[in-house]
Amino acid sequence: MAALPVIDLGLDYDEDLERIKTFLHKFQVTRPARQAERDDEDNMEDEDDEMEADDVEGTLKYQDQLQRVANREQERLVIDLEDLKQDDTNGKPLVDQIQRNAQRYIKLFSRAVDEVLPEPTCDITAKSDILDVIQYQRNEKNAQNEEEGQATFPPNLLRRYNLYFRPLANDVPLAVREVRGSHLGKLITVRGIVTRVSEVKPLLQVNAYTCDSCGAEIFQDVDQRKITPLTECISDVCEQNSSRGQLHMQTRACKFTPFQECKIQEMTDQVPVGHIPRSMTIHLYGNQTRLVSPGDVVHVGGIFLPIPYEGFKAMRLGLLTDSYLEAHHIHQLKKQYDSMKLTPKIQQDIAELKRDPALYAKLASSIAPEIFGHEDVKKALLLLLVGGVTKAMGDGMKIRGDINVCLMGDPGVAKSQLLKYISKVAPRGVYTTGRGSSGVGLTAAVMRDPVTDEFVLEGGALVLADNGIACIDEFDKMDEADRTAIHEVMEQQTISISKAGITTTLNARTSILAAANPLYGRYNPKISPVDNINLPAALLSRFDLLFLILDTPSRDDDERLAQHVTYKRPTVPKEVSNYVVQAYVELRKEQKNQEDRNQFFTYTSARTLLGVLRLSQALARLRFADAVETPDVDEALRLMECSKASLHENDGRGDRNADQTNTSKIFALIKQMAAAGAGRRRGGRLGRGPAQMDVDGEEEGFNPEQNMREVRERVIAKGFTEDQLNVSCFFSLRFSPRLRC
Amino acid sequence: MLADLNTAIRTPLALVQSVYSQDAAPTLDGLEKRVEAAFSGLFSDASALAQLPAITSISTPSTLPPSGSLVRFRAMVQDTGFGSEVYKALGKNGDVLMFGKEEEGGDSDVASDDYSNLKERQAFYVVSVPGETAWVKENLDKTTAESLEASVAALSLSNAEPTAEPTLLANKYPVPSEPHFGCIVKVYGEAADALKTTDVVEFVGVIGETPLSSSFDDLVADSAPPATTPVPALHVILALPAPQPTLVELPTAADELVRLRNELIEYLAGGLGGDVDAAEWLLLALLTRIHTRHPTGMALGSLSLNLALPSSFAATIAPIISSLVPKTTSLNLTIPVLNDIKNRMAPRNRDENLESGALQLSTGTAVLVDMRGIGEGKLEDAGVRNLRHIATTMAQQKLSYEFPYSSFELETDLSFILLSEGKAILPTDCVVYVKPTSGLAVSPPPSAEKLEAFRSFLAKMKASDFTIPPEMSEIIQADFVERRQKSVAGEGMSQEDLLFRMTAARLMALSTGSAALSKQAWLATAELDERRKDAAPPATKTEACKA
Repeated sequence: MAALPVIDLGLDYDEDLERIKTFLHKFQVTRPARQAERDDEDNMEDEDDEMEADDVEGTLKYQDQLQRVANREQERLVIDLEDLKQDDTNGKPLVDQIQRNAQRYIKLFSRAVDEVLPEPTCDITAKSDILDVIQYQRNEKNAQNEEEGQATFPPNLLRRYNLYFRPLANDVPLAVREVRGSHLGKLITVRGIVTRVSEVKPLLQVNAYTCDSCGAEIFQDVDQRKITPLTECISDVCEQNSSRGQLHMQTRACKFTPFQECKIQEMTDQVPVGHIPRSMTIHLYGNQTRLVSPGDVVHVGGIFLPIPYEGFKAMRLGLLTDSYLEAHHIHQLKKQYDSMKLTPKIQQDIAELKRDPALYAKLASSIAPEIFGHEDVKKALLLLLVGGVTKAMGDGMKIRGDINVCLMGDPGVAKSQLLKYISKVAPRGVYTTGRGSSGVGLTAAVMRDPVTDEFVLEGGALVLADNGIACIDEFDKMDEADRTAIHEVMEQQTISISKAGITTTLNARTSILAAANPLYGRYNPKISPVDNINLPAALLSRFDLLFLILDTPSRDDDERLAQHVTYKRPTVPKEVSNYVVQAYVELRKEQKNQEDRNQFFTYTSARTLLGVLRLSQALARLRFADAVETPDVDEALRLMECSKASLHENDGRGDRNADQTNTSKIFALIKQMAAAGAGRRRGGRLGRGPAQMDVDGEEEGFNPEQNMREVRERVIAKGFTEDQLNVSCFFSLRFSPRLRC
Repeated sequence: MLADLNTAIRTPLALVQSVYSQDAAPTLDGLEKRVEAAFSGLFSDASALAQLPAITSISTPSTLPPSGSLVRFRAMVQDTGFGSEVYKALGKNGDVLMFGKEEEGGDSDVASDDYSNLKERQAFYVVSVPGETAWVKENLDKTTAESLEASVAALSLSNAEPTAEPTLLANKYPVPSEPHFGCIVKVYGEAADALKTTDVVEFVGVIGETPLSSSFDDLVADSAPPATTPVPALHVILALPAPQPTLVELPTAADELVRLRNELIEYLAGGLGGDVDAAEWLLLALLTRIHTRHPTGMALGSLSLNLALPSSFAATIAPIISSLVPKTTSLNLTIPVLNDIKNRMAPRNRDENLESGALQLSTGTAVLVDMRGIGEGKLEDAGVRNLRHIATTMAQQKLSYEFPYSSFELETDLSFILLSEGKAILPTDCVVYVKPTSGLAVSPPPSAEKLEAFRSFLAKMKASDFTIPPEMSEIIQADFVERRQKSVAGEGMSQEDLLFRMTAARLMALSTGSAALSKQAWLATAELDERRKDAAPPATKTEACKA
């Protein structure tokens, strides 16, 4: 047979092997590669802790790791392509090669690691893992065998590390549908949501047999998904004697690796309009297993590979292949608690902080720095983050150490911001509102699993925040059922469930940070605090601290607040920000005047200030300018004024405290019809509502009698449902214009 | 050329091979395109296409043409989630292994590093068009109704014997009670990106089989050999736009058109106890088509109709509608049906498999929702969800597909007709209280020619373009302003009223055969709408007040 034509692709694997060895030996951290990448991003979310402890300047990163691998202190060996890229002489072409043909380079790297792996610096001791002892002896035997020219152990069996590549930081994550046949064999990154995860199972990597006639150990490397087991001994002894020794599999001498399969599905934003999402199989080996759970949003870096159909399938069709992604690096978009690492840099920082005499104040003021003032509230929140000590009594009783704090106050005093901040900064923080939309609510619920249609117990926000902080906004608007359950949580720190045949007690060792509005939205200084606070005493007593954050206009505070806010916006130049500050202070003064005259329409708060800034920034952008100028602010203020003017025009008609429930909207609508003099008197009076309850009757042109049909049509036309109308009718009949039925 | 056509029909794969090897330097690049060009040249006219055996809704895996033959299948894309599939495109000796050709010998020697011969194709699941009416099947597949019934009978016979033939996937058809056929289609090249779920396409391709495994965790599942079931697969060469039924020419003279319309109204009224106004509304509802989709998601052109029938009145409009429109389904809703979790309205993805729902229907399907039997009872979780799906699809023409951790709203274009006793519990654009005029003689069923004319009329008017002349929009504006000013509170015309009127007027003008809005049509609509409002029983005017 003629020699096959050979195409010279300019690849020299031996040379690459040498390069890799040099890299592993010589690579020295010059600057933390990942961090440098991140500096310009300025993204708090991304400032993650994935930085390896080795990323300290001057260390021989891989050499040190190899030593630890040799000493059995480390199993996972991650080759960061970012490090490789920094290597000027041969890094860049290697990175390209790896990205193109990752599987081959895994083998090359493994070979290189095998060759350069240093001798363990610690000796075998009685404490060592049993496998290490065996390995130690195998190494001895290996040496002997080699001298005698006998078969040695396959390198795969002796490898005690898992080698992974970490993709470049700027590798763009693909959507599942963007992964094409042309990506086969390449190192790619895919983004998606994990939908299914299989159990972790041992996967055979090296199969070991013993021969029953000659006693030889035979090893079979498994590099495919299927093997044909050996049955006859292939050792020299048996072959010479042609004794056909039977081979028996020796499970204990085999090498297994954990294996897990999972499915990821495209995210909503990756699916083109009108299409449905696609999914992809991910294979997780070794240390990559157990890193994801269903519902996680992940970036998976890995090698896209085909699985040839084997066995029964191959008999039918030998040509099809399923494809999968062999995971090499998993980046969770939401950080888990225990994935945090203490790097020397952090340790150093902590040591420095310890010496700071103003530690308490400093830490407190660094909570939500974008929120101005509230120093005492921030101090309380700091203590909440740290927590007390839970004391367990001898009889099993516990006294909670978690601190519960309630913030109550006017709208626009950044309560929600504080809550969001805490839930973000706390490693296990859950932010929810009292009116959480999920059916599970705050505590726990027995739900029907959408996939299996079985009843499952699903934990709500409080259970999810176990050992963390539950931040509950709109605490006063909480469901009654949740409110009673929360009594138990706040003192006993458990949740008892007795639903659908499931009776159990769940742990909810959580601190509660609640935010609530006063009874009628704003704090009313004319009535007693107890009337303002809209919570039962039993609940209030469970809060260690209750802050009342009021927003009383005062020139000094307003000016400082406005300065703080404008300062936080770098695109607003100094002189313009001064202008905004003045304008805001004026607005507040105006509000106070109106308040005194008891006829204010809107409410000027820090939010208004931010609104002005947003509007002026938008105006600046319209001008293609980078910075806000005074005319922008003027226009923004004019618009604000206009928006208020439209409220003035509506005087007497509009519902001032416009709360936005459907009932009030319908109510407003009916009132509006009445005020407009609509709804003529027709036919006999059938109104059932008591006439004396006509609260708004004194207004001009008010016709208290409404034709129900007209009302209904209007209301339905506005997009409300019949039911909502009925509810409103009920209220209307009690309070307002009589409806003729 | 004719020989070529014969080759294409008899041995399509040989033609594929010759397309490949006719070049001096054969290459796989763009081969899909060249094959497509070769075949579309041959099948450019309908008569050539008609020579191909067709897969229809009554096909079964056992009655399929033999593997490797070229067939056509008019189908709706049901599931695009099967993803791509990598295959070896070139075998030994330069055999092209695309479009269902299998390598002889059958050993898989895909070396782990040799990816140059691998190509990919997209796999979809398609089903015969749901709700397709008998006359369309007859028209397009050239089969008579009797043979259809005979085949159905044969089908039930053959079903009695258990066979080891390839099976159809369960839960993939929106209307499980209808006879249907479904298979995997494998789409080569870039054509795949354009296909969306509920698209109706005429696929021309090579029939074969494919194993289908759940593929999850099959490392473990493989221990039991036949874990996979073979399912029929169609290797698509051409994806042609869905064929339209051939229709008769409509009369051009205006008065003849009017006469035809009147006869149609009469025919429709026959099923509604002779109520001509209700028949007018029904005609309008049958003509609806989404003509504009606003970027904000608002769909213009839909008009959901609620025919509120007096109790104990047996309306027979289902057969009338199905004798007129190409696609229609009916949903008989009762409390137990709604509450049954097996009756899904919206498709749901489960284990990477999209299970169909009753509303996963192709564009232009008329959906007859019969709520007369709903009775009293408690809606459970599934029931509320099902009802909500119907309501949102009706109001926004969007159906939400349920996926784990997310849901996707896909656009629909369905005409909804609700039958109920009294006003239905679902909100509709217009409620018509049907008043059967008793004593009207039952008119004889129209002749076949007449029916053909009706169908052409509906199809033509539905698809026709429409404009509102500037002078008409001024009239409408003036009318609107005038009504607003005259109006007192509740009776004023709101924006929604105007929108509804405009939609109705558009349909009214179309139903009279004009492609532009005329003042006459506008006034006729207004009159019809006023009559509708007056016909509403007085009870509903006050029923809301329950205090």
